[in-house]
Amino acid sequence: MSGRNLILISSLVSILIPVMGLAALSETYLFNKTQITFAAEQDGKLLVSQNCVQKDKQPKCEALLKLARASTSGLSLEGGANPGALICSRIGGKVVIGQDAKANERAFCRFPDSSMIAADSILTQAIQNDLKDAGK
Amino acid sequence: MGFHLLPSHLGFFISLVLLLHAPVAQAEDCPTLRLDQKGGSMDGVPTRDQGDLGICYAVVASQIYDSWRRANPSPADASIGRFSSPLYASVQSALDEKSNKLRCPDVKDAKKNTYDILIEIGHTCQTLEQMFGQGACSEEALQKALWPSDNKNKLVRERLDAAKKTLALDRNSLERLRAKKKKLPQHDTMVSGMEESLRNTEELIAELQLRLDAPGATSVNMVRKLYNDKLLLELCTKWSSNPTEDCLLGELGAEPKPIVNMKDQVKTLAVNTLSDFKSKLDSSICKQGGKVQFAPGKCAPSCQPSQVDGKADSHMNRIREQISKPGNLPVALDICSAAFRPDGLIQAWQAKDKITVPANGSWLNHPKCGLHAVMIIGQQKNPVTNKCQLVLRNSWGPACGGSCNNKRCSCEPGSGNILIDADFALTNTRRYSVISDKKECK
Repeated sequence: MSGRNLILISSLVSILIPVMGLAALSETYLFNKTQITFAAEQDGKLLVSQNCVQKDKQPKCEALLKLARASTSGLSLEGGANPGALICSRIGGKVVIGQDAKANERAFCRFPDSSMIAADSILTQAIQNDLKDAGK
Repeated sequence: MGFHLLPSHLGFFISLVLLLHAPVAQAEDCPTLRLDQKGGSMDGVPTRDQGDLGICYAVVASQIYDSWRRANPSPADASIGRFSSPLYASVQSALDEKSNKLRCPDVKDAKKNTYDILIEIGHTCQTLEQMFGQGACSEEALQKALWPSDNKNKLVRERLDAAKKTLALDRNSLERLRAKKKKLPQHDTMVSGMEESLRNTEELIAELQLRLDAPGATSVNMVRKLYNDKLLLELCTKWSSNPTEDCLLGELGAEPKPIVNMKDQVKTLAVNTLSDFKSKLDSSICKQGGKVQFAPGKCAPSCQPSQVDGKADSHMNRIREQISKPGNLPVALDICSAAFRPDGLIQAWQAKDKITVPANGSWLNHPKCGLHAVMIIGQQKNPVTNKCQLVLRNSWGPACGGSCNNKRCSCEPGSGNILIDADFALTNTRRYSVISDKKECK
């Protein structure tokens, strides 16, 4: 095999790796013994529980509905708490910690209707809301 | 002959691709050092997420403690494979077991409200020294211990059923009251009272339903929340004249009666909550399989904090020495988290909170600093700025949505590590702490 072919194939592999397996559309986290699957929505910006995903319908779950109220304004960030988790309790959710397959922890916000959203997704949305409010 | 991509080829090609994508040469003054990679003391240590609790100092202390145990394996440490719990460490740090009082950190400038060595209610070195002195409890054990048992679920279910019945009765009564054409005396007051009662019952039902349906982590977090770090901070600082001796029994006479009573009540509640929490764990799961029982006694290493002044080079050299020496250990860092917030958040602050971004890049004296404890777990060259960057282990989980995304500061997806130019990081650092073995134990 010539060097040129080798480069072509390695380029092909470098393109295919993310396409074939690593573009994760769903992620699973363990909450003690309960496994919950989350779906990446809005180009991966929001990670919400599967029970929140309704194709061709307006979102009805609280995790997505409450996002409209999320804001970073006036948030006290002393002490290093996860900012998305702090916003969670302001919009009516409770913080829960899940673990991935490597035992990494991730904070989620859980609502009374049992829908859940990743804390970092809340922060992302809160920033968008704030910038929109400010006309940016 | 056509070429078929076999699985055996795939590994080779992946290696080739990785090789092609790897930096061609390392800057001489910034060799890549990663404690979280193979052979490092942080290899395989999972990323934590502290959620809504201000226990970053305890996350850092527990991970340095685990890192030290892994770098100095001892036959006496049967729990080497376990990771210690930051929450347990934070409670242990806050509670003085001998006197059964809250143990406040050394807040020298409490009256001036300047927590220059304090993050929330604790700090890394104090917590770490207690861990080396008393051992720890594993996070895995803590998760199991706090998982509600079936019996608890049964009780919650019974309370939920009762609350639902109450709600149905109250709704019925309210409807009948509203339906009365001839208003009774105090009619409006009665209606509003019942409406409030209904709202309370609805909230209770939602709370109970959440507990019943919730995965275990919700219950875990409920207990975690009992350790109210913000309240304890107030107890230790704002309500006391002498926090170093006894933060809760300050000059009671100098304050109005109601506050004194509240302070006493809160003190009792806080101490009882913490003692109860810890003693239950100590006598059960932490004592049995979950104890991270390694207290090296006289040879416990010491934790040495250093305030960052203008001598950036000497601080950087000390940090590099710590992470690169044999048995390398992470360095604890108290840094303004504003330095690694997403650009969008800074813009939102500018737009909504009307803040000014510091021109010199230092957030240290800025109200949005957000002092935060993290760990330095490596260094490498920033290919964009060509500067040496520090690898910081953060405690906001493995995702990067809440972290920086610009040239001098970025985030590693999958670990949540912050990659930040060293000069920028030091500009925003209040102090760092290194671990060193005692001379007689070397």
